[in-house]
Amino acid sequence: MTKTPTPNSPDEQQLIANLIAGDDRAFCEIITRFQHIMITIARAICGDTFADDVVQDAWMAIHKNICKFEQRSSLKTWVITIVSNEAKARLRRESRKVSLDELDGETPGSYLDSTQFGQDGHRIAPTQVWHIESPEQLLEEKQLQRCINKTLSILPPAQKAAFLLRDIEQQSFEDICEVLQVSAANVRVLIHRARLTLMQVIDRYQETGTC
Amino acid sequence: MLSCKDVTHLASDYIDNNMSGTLPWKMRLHLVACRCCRRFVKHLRITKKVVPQFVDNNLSEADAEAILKKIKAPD
Repeated sequence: MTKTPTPNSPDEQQLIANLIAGDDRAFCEIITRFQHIMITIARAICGDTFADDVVQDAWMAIHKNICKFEQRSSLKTWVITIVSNEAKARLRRESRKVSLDELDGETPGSYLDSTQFGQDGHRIAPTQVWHIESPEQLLEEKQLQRCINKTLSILPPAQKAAFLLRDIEQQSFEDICEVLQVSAANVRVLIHRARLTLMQVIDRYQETGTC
Repeated sequence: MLSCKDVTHLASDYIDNNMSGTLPWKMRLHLVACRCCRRFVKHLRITKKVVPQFVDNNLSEADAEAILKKIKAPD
């Protein structure tokens, strides 16, 4: 992970001070904030079977070592690095290999499906028009929010992890490569596929008003 | 000249400014000429902006407390 010093916000510095002081409420706060991304990363690296164990081990390591956290990165980056290292270690111990088969082939009906294009590579059908294009208006659509979260929950693990790390947690591409142990080119493909799947949800919602 | 298929594959790299050489210029050239791809890239930008705001990844306080309990008293 990036080793350049990251100035933590005053709120985060206070949170870290509380964590070091052994404040349970502060620890609950970081569990609330990071549990989901940690599980997502663990699933992407070592699969469903070990993910819960790995995250629990990571939390124990964080709890034990928080007093040694030197703030050379943000708290989030430190937490993500710990869970990623735990997951990689578990993968090595179990001598397993998780294949990135979600990079293979194109899902039929997806935007990347070859049948959407003619032999010259041009679109066969025009791109659908969205009747709601304003992000502010889209954000008011509660049903769409449910559709997005439902789709996110069933995305392939590596796609979901790459997407969350990039578009939600704002991690750099280099850091995502290191966390997930995949090449830069593959990280970009994973993020692109996740975005396209989610865009297709909005497409469908615009057309039918449902998921 | 890029095709619509190329643009569809490269759209995230384009909106993330993750392209080098003449590729961004080739993308722009295609987008000037192709209304469908322009719309496609616009929709992808909207998706990138909107989806993160829809996602609620926070755990409930009760679940967080249960995890903390487990961490503090393993086995």
